[in-house]
Amino acid sequence: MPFFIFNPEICIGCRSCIIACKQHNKLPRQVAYRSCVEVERGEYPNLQLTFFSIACMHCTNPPCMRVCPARAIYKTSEGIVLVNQDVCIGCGYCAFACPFGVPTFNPEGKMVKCTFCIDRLEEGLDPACVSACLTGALDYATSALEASLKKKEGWIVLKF
Amino acid sequence: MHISRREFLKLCAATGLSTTILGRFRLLVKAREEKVGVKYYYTSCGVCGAHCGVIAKVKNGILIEVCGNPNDQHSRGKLCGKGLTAVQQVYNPDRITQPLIRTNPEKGICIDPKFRRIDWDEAIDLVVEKMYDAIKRFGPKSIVTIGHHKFNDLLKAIGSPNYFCHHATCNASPFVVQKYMFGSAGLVYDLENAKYILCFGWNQVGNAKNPLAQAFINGVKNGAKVVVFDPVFTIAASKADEYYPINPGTDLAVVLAMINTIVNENLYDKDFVDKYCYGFDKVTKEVSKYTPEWAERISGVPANVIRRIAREFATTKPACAPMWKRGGAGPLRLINYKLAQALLILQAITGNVEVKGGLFKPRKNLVKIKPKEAPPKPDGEPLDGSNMFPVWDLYNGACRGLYQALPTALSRADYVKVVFFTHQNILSIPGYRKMIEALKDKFVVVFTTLPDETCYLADVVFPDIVGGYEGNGLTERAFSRFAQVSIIQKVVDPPVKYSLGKVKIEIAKRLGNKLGVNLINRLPIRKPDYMLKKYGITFEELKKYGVYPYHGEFKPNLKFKTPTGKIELTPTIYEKHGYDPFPHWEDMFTSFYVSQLKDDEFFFTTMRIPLRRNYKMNNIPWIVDEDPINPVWINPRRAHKLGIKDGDEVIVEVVRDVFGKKYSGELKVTGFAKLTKRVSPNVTVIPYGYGKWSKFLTIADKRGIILNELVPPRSTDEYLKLRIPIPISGDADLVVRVVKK
Repeated sequence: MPFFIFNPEICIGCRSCIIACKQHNKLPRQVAYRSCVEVERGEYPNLQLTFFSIACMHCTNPPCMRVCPARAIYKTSEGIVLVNQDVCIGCGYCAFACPFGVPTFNPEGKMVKCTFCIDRLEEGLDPACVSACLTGALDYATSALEASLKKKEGWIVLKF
Repeated sequence: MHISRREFLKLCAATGLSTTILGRFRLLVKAREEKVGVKYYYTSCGVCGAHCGVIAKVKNGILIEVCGNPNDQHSRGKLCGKGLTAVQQVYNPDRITQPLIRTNPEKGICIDPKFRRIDWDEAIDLVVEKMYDAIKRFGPKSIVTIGHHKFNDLLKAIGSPNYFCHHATCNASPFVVQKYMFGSAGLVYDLENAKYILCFGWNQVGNAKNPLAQAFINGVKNGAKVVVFDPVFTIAASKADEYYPINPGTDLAVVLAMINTIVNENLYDKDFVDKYCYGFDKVTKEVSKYTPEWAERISGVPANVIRRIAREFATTKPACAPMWKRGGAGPLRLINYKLAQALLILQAITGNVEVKGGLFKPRKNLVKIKPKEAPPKPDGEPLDGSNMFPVWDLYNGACRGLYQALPTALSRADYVKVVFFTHQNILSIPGYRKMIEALKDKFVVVFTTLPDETCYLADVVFPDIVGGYEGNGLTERAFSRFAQVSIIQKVVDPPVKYSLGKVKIEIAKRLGNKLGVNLINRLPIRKPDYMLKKYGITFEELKKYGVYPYHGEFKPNLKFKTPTGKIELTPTIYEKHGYDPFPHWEDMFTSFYVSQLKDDEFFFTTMRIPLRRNYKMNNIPWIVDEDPINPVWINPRRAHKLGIKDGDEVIVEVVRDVFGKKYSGELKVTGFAKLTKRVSPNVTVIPYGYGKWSKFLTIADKRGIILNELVPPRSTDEYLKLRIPIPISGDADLVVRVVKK
């Protein structure tokens, strides 16, 4: 089961992950699977500035999957949440259910989201965003154990 | 169950990961790329000067994807967001592919030139005709080129002194000072192995300058202590151990006080200074008046902090006080040529030169090509008066130019008849509106890939190839201790018949015939195999690797190509030409103090945002979607007092500039406020590289602020009066007023 893991300590907010994702998935305009959130804490000059690169969490128990009336959202045996585009009716329930605002809609009105670059995994490659990250701040773990080990090193496990 | 990544990937590949279902259901993720017809090529990214190694995936002659080349020791197999948009650079919907000629004689902002397509040969003939007429009537100096240095060869061959490059707004202050102090420009800071990184406005990590950003973060990972002085809380500041807000433009005061502390407390590297430095006596003598208490009054940084950090910097080895182009010690402020010198003094007297984790001279091994025949003596003096700054002109002979003074100089030079713009957006020129007036009666030839604002002034437009993907070449960039050459390869067939280089040669041929001289012999003709001689590799072989490092052990190179053969802490060339050789603090360059600011006044500054690079990235759909406009950054506390809320429309107007000139609303822009705690309450930031008015560009967002609307055009005389050796632009030396619209 793959987990995105993230190290805010070394993320520089360069957004290479977002562009790499757009490039690999050939996304149309105004559609992005990944977003970058900038968080400012404190007051100038005692400030803390952190970035978070966020995409689909591929939840263990995905709320989007539970609410989908068309049952278009499904989970592979590897734990990757995918959307069956032929079945999606574009109702937008998933967007309401998702706590992270992940579901986006393509120009045809169908829900699209991060696929964990399943096609790249098949070829033995890392997801596009992970392999593009300049500083190695975005990575993924392949099991819960690995994720928990990384968590002890200060990484954030993006799993819900 | 715990499985490693390798096993996981293998498992995915073995099970086919529900390929059958996916093949049917994935809509946006197009069907898996067939292995047939897909080819991989090595090349180098053409977005910025870092030229990161690229692997381009080409299918049936179409570029479909790019990724970093892992063999590249600088970029380490990564590309920044700008570089990853290669597909949209090559297949940009607005790209022009055929030469255009103007049919509407009226030129100006937003006046449609009513372009008509013409044939390549016809266009070249027309340009040659105009050049020939101008040369016959007014001499070679009537031809001017502004922009890419590639075209300068032609001007030199003709004998025109008027070739101008953007250095005064880009890298002049660090590079020229480095050249005169160390004998070579473009020094490399080994941030990766440094134990102490002292940044004065340095924020290449926030620009996502790929090799430097990675080196910096690796330095942080390796446990380097990072200290940042900046009026803006930059990305570098967010990774720093200590951050100090500083009054804008007063970094020099702090650095001088640090040198003072190090000299007074005998913390400098005596052996190194005795053996390799010239002018230390002078530094000792002159720096004595710059105490940390004095610096505190000017910069607002506490004296005890300055002392402590000076001690730490001198005693922690190796240490770096980096600078690179714009940003730290860049030409954004007039005083920064002094800051660059002071930072290099700091680096040299602590002995952090040519050691692992310190400062290096760039290693370069490409053989330079010289033309068969030496170019003639230039016809007169350059129109911008570059030659009146001897120190500057000696260094910058190859690509001279006071960009900020060009609009004024051009409007005075009646003899100029033909102006070439080569890959230079007119919006990048300070005071560009004046430039437009100056260009109205000239014959303007533009080389570009996109129909940008410059085309509105063009009489003839030549489309060009996209750098990195449509032409062959070699590039050598110094970002680490070892030399490395990278290949630039034609990976796709360009949609244009001739590249800029080809047009240049065609012009040389035809103009030469008319003038009765062989201009081709005066051009340096590139021979890749010959250039690669020192690397011991041929161009064909290089195609297999993409990049090729110079093999061998690292050897410190402590020979300095300066008149004294040492590091010149006080450059002898300054003395020779009657300039002050020590970087003395001068109030006149920063005549603005915090106490003089009125309620609605701010110090102005600018910075680069990761996904932007000047105007090159302005029309890329992925980037415009992600980062459409440049807001006006204001501190929330200050904004609250002015009644400005987040997202409000605000007017920013220049009140006074560094030369003491006052303005009342001539220079102003309208934009949207962004309230952020990342800026000091006294400072407002507008990032650059945004905005447009060209109607030919369909993707760029016109709500963005064109920064050079704010920067006043300047004249050479103003710089001469100040008696500065290096006339950098000082774009950010402004005080602005921000009011709610």
